[in-house]
Amino acid sequence: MSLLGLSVEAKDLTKEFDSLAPLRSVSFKVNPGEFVALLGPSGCGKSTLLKMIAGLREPTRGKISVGEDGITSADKRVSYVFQDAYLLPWRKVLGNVTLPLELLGASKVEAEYKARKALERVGLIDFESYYPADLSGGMKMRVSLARSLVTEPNLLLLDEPFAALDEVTRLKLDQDLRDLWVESQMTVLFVTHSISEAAFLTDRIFMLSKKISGIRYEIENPLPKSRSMETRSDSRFGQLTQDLFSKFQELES
Amino acid sequence: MKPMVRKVVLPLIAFVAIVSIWEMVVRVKWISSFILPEPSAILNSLIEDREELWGALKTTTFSVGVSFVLSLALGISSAIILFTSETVLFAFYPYTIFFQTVPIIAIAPLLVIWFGYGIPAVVASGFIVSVFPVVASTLTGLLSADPNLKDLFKLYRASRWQSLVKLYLPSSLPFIMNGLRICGGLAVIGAIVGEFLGGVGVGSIIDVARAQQRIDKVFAAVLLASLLGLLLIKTIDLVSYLLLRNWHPSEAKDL
Repeated sequence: MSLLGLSVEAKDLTKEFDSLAPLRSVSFKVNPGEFVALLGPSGCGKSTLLKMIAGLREPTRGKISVGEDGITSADKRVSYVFQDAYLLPWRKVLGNVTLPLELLGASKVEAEYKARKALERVGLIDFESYYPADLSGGMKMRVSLARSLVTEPNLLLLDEPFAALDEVTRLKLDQDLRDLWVESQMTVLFVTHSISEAAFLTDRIFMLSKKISGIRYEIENPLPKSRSMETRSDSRFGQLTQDLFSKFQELES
Repeated sequence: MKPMVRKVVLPLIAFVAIVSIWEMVVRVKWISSFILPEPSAILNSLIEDREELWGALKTTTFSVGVSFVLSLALGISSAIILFTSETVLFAFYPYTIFFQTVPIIAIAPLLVIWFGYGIPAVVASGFIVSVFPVVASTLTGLLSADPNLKDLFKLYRASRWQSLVKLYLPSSLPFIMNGLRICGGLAVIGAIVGEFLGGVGVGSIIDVARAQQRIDKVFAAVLLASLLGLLLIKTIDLVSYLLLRNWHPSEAKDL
C-alpha cells in the first residue's frame, strides 16, 4: 500500500526555551516500520520533540534525520496528528480530508477518491458531508486521523491524539490505530503520558523525564504484534505496565 | 414567551405606545410642533414630498453603496497587504488609524473642494469614515488564525497563496463580517455628512429643510436615512448568517 516506513534518528537533540531546557541531549533511533511511544509526564518536552521531527520547530542543538541518506524530500511523507482534531470548521468532513492532497497539488478527483478511502478506513464514510461542528469528539479525531492517512504517510507522528476523549472511545481508537499500523508499513511515533496506552499500542517505549536529560529508558514491548481487547488482560501487559509505572515514579521522584 | 411574541409583538406594542404618546404630547401643545413635529406631520411630509425624498434616497443609496463596496474591497485588500509583510505592517498601520480619528465634519468642505459638488465628494466622505473598521477587523482575523492549523499547512508545504485562500481568509471571515456591520452604519453617516456640503441626496434635503424651518421634513429625511442604514446592516446580517451558520458559533443554527 505505501512505501516502507522511514527511520528517525536523533543525535544529541536539545531545545532551549527562555530559562529552562526541558529537552536536553536526546538521542535515539527508530527503525523503519516501527511503532514507538515517547512516554513522559506533562511538560517534559515530548510535544516539542515531535514538532522538531516534523520539521515544524528548529532544535537549538543537535541533529534529526528522517529517512536513510538518499531519500528525496518528496518521498518523505510525514503526517501529524495534534492533541485536538484541529479540523477546518468551514469545510465539510470530505473537504478536511482532501486538504493535504490539495496542498500537495493533487487533482480534485484523485483527492476525493483517496479521501473517501481514508474515511472508509476510519469508519466515517457516511459522514463526508457533515460539518465538524456536528460531529462528536471521537468522530472529529477519526476525521483528523483520516486526514493524516490520506497522503499514505511513511512516518506518522501523533501528539497525545486521544487524550481528550472518553475512556471507551479512546480504547476503540487505540485498537483502530494499532490495526491500521499492522496493515501498513509506516513508522509511527506516538507521544503520550498514558502508561497503559503506550503498553498497548507500541513495540518500543522511550521514557522521557522532566528532571533528567535525554531518554532514560528504552523498553521493548514483549506483546505479540496483533493486539486486541484480550491483550489488556494478558499477564505480560500487566507486568509491562507495572514496570513502566515504577520507572515513571523513579524518574519523577 | 413565544419567539413570535418576543420578536414582533412586543416591539410593535412599544412602537405604537411611544408614537401615540408623542402625538398626544404635541397635539395638546406641551411641546411646540416647530420644535418636535408630531408623527402624523412627519408621515404627511413623507407622503407630500415623496417624489423629492424618493429621488434623494436613490442618490444617497447609490453613494452609500459605492462607499461600502470601496471600503470592503480596499479595506480587505489593504489588510492582506499589511499582513503579508511585517515591514509594511509596522510602517503603515499606524497611519490607517487616521481614518478612524479624522473629524469628517471638518474635512468634508475640503472634499467638496477636491472632488466638486455632488456624488464623488459624498462617496469620498462615506469611504473615509467606513474603511478603518474593515482594515482593523480583517487584520485581526488574519493574525488570529490557529497556530496548529498553520503548522498543518506548513507540514504539507502549502504556498503563501494556498495558505491565504484556504486558511487565513476563511479564519478571518467572522471578523470581517463584524467589521462590515460597523462599516455599513458608518458609510451612511459619512455619506450624509458629505451630502450636507455636497448638495445632493437625503443629507442635502435635511440641510435645506432645516434652513426653511421644515422640521417635519427634516424628520422624514432622517427617518429615511436611518432606514437605509438599517436595511444595509440587516443585509450584512443575512449574508453573515448564510456564510457562517454551518461552522461558526456566532451564527449557530439553533440560536
